[in-house]
Amino acid sequence: MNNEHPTEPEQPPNDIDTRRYHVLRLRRRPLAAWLAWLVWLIALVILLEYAFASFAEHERQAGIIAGAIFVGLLAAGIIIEVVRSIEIRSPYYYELTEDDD
Amino acid sequence: MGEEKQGISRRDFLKSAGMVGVAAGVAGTTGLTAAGDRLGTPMSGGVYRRPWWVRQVDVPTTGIDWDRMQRFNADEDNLAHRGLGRYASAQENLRLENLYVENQQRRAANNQPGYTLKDSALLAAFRSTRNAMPRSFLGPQQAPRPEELGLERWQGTPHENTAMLKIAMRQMGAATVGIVELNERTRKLIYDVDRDGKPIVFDNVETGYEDDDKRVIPYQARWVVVYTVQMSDIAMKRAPTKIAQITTGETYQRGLSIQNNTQEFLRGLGYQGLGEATLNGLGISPALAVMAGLGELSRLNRVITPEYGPMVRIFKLITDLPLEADKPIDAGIARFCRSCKKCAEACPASALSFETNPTWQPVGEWGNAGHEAWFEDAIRCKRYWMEELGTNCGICFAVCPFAKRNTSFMHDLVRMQIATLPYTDEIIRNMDDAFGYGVQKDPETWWTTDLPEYGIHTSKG
Repeated sequence: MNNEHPTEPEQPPNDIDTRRYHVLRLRRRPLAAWLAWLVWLIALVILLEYAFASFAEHERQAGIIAGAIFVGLLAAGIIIEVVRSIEIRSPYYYELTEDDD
Repeated sequence: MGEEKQGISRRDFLKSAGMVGVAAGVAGTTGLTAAGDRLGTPMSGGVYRRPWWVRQVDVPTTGIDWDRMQRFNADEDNLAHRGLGRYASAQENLRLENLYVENQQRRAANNQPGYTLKDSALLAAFRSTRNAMPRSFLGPQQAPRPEELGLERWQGTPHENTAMLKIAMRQMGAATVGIVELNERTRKLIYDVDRDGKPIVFDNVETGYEDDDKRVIPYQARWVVVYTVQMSDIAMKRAPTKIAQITTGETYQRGLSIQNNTQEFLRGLGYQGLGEATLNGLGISPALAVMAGLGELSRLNRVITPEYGPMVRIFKLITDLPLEADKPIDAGIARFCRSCKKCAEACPASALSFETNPTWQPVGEWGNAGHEAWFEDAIRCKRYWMEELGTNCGICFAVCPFAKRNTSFMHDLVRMQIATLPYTDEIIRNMDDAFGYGVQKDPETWWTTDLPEYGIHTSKG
């Protein structure tokens, strides 16, 4: 068994090579945004459980409608998040938000 | 270097406050619904803990005028007899009975789903077995009494006795059990004349008895044990067919079995259990169930329970074992019925009331005066069974928004909303329609359904 330590990774150069490293940005979000995501998540969980239970109860129409609402809400949340992330990367984002108040 | 802004803007503050409110509302509602059973109040004896939105109240949600109410003659005035009983001529009753048989035969000959030979055979199996089972006012009287075992009769506090009896009856198959104490008022809910024509009298005797002329209840037998037995919603949602009728017949069979078991259990403890000597005999089931806190009187003019909706049959027996009485409940059911009217709209015989509020005036003499109800035109109902169907109906049970299988958290959430937010009642009714509830299920698919025992959901109560 090889007990040797693995080779030490090379120290990243001062000038970060973006081709080899990912940069994780943690952004501050207002409380309202976090709570909106919480409400969205609770609604998704309840809808999903309702959709499955409705099929188990032999209530097909209720299951289909609940499933459709679930998919719509899930898609809406994903689209909002994608649009926001694109907006944040925009060079104009900070200029736009400065006047936002 | 620019001046750094302190605190948050008014806009951000309002946004956050709004979202805190919404999130707290959603999370709180979800949490309270999920914790419903734990936060609830127990019924007498402490056996069940109902969700907190099922409130115990001093008077039922539909009014009772005890001074006006009289004991009911269940022999002459009800519609359980052949045909329409005294409400039609002998000739008309014969015509209706013949039509009933003809309708059955025609549908069976056409191999109509829900009326085929296998459907009729299964119904007959339940019915004939029930008819072969012992049924009496005093019970089978086979179990050894305590003195035969050299023991004193059972002694416990009313609280302990109630808990013991309720647990025993759950083991026997009862869905819920409630207790009514008999007094000057509630004795009016016991029939004056039983359904077989035998008077029921209260007397200062030590033990109840029955002779050729009457059934005697001792004044000291002060407690009515009212219990529900669950019907299969899977079968009932095939109404009106023999499949739906099967669950009625099968439930009556289980109710009778529980009665016999309870009578023998009480005998073994050294007490009496005075039961239904005839099907639906002894007293007014819906009224006793309301007083026992098992449910609320609804637009169907039947009881709707918080646990099982209308999907129950109600039974009762009287005992001298000291018990603890339950209180009526308010779960928003009768209030919801005011705006819903789904059963009345679905009733093919137009037998159910469209009045927004319950009334004090019965439609006919088959209804007992002295209480508020959505009185139904029972003649129209029964005439429809015979002239059109060749079976019983049950559509009103099947379409009721409370008749859910209750496997989803969403149903709890809606029931909590019905109990606490009356202004959402109409929205809930409309959503019930939009989600396709109340549409008759294909009777033939019942024979290929993956059925649980007895077709019921035994863990939801």
